[in-house]
Amino acid sequence: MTALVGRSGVALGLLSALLLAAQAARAWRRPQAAGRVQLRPAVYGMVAGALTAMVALEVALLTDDFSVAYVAQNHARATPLLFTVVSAWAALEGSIVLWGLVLAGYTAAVFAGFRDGDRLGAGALAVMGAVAVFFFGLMASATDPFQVLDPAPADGPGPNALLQNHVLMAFHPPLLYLGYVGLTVPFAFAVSALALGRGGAAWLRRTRRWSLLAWAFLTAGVVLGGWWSYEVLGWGGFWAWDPVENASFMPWLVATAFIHSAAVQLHRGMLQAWNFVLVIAAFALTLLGTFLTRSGVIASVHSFTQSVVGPALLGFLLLVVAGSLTLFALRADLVATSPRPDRLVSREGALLVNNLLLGLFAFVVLTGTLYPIFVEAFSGAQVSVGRPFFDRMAAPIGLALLLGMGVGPVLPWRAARPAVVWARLRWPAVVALAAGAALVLAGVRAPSVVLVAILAAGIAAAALGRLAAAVRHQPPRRRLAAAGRALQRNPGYWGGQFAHVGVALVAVAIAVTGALGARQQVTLAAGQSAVSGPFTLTFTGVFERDEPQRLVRGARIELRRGGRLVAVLQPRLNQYPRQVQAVGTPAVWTGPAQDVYVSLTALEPGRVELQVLRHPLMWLLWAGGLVTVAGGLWALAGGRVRRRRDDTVRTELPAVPAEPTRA
Amino acid sequence: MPSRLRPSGLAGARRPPTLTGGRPLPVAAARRWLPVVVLVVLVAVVVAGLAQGRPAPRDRAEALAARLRCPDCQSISVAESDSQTAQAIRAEIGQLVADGRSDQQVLDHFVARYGRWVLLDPPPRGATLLLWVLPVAALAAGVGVLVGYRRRARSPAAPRVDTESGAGDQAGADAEAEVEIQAPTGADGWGGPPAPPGRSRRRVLAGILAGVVALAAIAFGVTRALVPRPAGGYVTGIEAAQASQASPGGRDLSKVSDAELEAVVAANPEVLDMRLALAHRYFDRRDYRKALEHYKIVLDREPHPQALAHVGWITYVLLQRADLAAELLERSLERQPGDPEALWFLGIVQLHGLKDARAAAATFTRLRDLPGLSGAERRQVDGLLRTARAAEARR
Repeated sequence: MTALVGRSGVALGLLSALLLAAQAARAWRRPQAAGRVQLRPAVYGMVAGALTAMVALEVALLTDDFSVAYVAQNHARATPLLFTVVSAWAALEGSIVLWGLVLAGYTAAVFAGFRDGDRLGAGALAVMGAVAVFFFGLMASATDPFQVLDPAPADGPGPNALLQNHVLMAFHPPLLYLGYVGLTVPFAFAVSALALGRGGAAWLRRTRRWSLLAWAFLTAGVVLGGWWSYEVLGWGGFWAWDPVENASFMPWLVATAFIHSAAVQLHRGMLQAWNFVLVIAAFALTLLGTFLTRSGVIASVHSFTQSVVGPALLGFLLLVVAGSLTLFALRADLVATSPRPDRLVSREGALLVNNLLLGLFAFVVLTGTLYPIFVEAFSGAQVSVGRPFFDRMAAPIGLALLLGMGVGPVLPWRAARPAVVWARLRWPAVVALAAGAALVLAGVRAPSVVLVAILAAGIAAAALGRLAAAVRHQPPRRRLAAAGRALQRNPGYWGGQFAHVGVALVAVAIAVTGALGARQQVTLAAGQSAVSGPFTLTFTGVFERDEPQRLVRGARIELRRGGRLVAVLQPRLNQYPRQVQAVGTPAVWTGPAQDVYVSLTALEPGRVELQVLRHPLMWLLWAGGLVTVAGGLWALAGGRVRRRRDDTVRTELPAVPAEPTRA
Repeated sequence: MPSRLRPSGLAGARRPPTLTGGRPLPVAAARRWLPVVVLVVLVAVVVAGLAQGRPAPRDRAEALAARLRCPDCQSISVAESDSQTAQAIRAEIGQLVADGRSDQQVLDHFVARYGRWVLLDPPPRGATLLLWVLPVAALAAGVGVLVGYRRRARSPAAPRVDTESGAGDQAGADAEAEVEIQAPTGADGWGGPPAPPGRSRRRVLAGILAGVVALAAIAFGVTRALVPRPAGGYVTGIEAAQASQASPGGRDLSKVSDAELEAVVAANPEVLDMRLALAHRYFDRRDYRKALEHYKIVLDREPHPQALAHVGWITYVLLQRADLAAELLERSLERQPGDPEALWFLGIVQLHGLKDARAAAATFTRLRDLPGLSGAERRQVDGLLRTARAAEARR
């Protein structure tokens, strides 16, 4: 019954998507032919269909309906409630349903801004309808989650052991999908604009909000993915340059480049063609990421399933890339005529360098990720490309980007005279180097830490400097309020500055944990202690609990600092059915100065082998991620407080207090 | 900002009085040069500090471990993993380094065992040379495009606009804020004549063509990559561990429900196949107690090798009786000598239960030499074998 309802939802979604694509294409061709009234049922039908499918899947999971194949494969009666709900997107079929739902949501939101006669919007809706046809088509065929098993098994194996370990599984995939799928919106508008032969900035204005929203979600998804890896996988790190991680990082890099280059076009009319390329690349990379993770082409933590979905995704990816690039080529004469910058030392010059660096970064990650596949394909040999390669490539690019984040935002548009650059940068440079000198004098001698700290302090000081310049003419007691107004008057610029500070914090955390972290392996008998930095870890005993879905064994480790008990850590081993090696769950204690991270290597009554890691300033990584996301959201909505209905895009400029607000 | 950071004593220097006859006041000069001096001093401090306190070079063994891939993990190095294989490899690296082997010799040692796959850091030669060339080429191309992009912009027609009016301290410094796009569709009015459409279009078309060819190559490559791997096969990863656990024998996965099977088995107590299928099903689900009930009945009638092996495993996992488990597994192997599952279980029991690393190593060697193991399974077994040997060496 539930399967039937779910399948009806998928069918409704598929038909509605077809209808939407057809009707919107009509409205795009001849605005008189179709309008809101004609499109509305299709959009509503898509939302209703996707919602029905998702709810049906959840109901099937919650009611232990093992006649549904997806439930039989990814659920067990003993699975706890939270992970039952989460199972809906823990495997391939369900994740496609989630994708469809998110896409339907974005489509409805785009439709809300659609008015009769709006050809650009109609074209975008047609593209979104076509993309939805593909995903609903997948749900109806290759990744049908509602296949019926008859007779139904009495129980199932439960979700993948690694996926029922942490509450972050409830947030990380949906946020990532909100980011991935959100990039469909600017892509759809770009294709529509290309098809219309309109190379201007109208599509950028229309999609600015969506690009920022998708970017913020993607950022949150990537950061939470790192956090999940840190809290669950137990090897002590948060980023392994695993293909699955890279698959989420590449669209992020390109989307970041797009946000910046869109600002250049909105401001100076440049980079028209480049923006189309970037937005097509960002969308294609989300599809590539899905292909890499879901086809099993690279085995990885997330590639739980292999199915015919691989070729389907690859085909769609090639279709999208070839199709949109062909369209781009046909319209090249209309978009390749934008002006060029007068000087490289200017805001637009800095943004060009930003695009170069981010593009290069994405290219390096793409090459490193795909290279083993190609070598294996053409020579049959298996090679690895791992952390040493990526770290070596990422470090210089990352440092250059940090430098750009400090310098770029203070440069004026068009041309920056040396005197102006010096006037705006001298005090931030002093602050930055003072931070570096303070660290050196405090005894920190790791070059990476000092360098990143200098750059990060410079970024923060430069941003504060611009804010101070904006309120300079106010009497001192009104400056705070004036600063608030300045932030609201130009949310794009200041949101960007927030995001830069967030990224700088993340960079500091990465450098500090990488250079100053400590790792040791200890073996303790009951009652014995080990010393790690300022901490003493005492093994007091083992515990065992038989949970419905697993057997949990763990050790109790008392963490003391200066004789005072700060925490009792409980690293565990979870024995799931028929796995020789148990799945470990580390115990993490987060302090203001550092994290203590303990994972079990071996556990016997009266003796444990532990891996003990200390990560200084680890919380800064998550906090920096949060600040970055907040920056994106501020850019998106910060100005709402002041302007009510405003469809035009606020350009990214430093605020001038005396100037009246521009609408 | 600068005005806020400036020492208050210097604030009056903004409007220099001309009492000194046009000569800048010493205060003004000081104000001007202060940041320069401070910057120079700070740079000196940082550079001196960093140069003085060279951080201790990383332990050679650790650095080598970071360059080797952990064979039974996911994308992480031997240095980062706490798996038993990784520990064994770390111990071995330590030994090799202590023996005075060079870095390259140590790496070669592991390449000889695992293949080039084990190197996380692909060497800039042979098949992985391109990996190092491509980013550099991309950077060069990008810089070239950027520089060319700017240079061509310097047409005499394009008016050079300096929006900055003098020093940055001026209020009008932000006059750049006036710039804004007006025409919604448009790129017109931005100075400079539009590029001749034909030429740019041809260039773009050529680029697209190259892109499509590259894509076709990618598609071809990926499909080739997909073909040789058996269904359910993995290059590496945690799945490899799971895959090697998953029913080497290929089990009867009939779609009859447990309850029905129970009923059938109860009605026909002598039909052992059915009972075995049911017991396997419970076993797969780690429902060991129920599985044990049925296996016992089977074993009462016939010493079925697989039932013996599974009961042995249950004995180890549930009752922690390694000795008894090993005995049962040995009996299973007597009846069916080349059963990979039983060998696997036996090796684990010997290694972790009996602490008999020598016997475990022998068992894993037998298992490894079996034909028909997949690459991933063999790697798993190799990992276990090394763990066993390392444990043996420790004793």
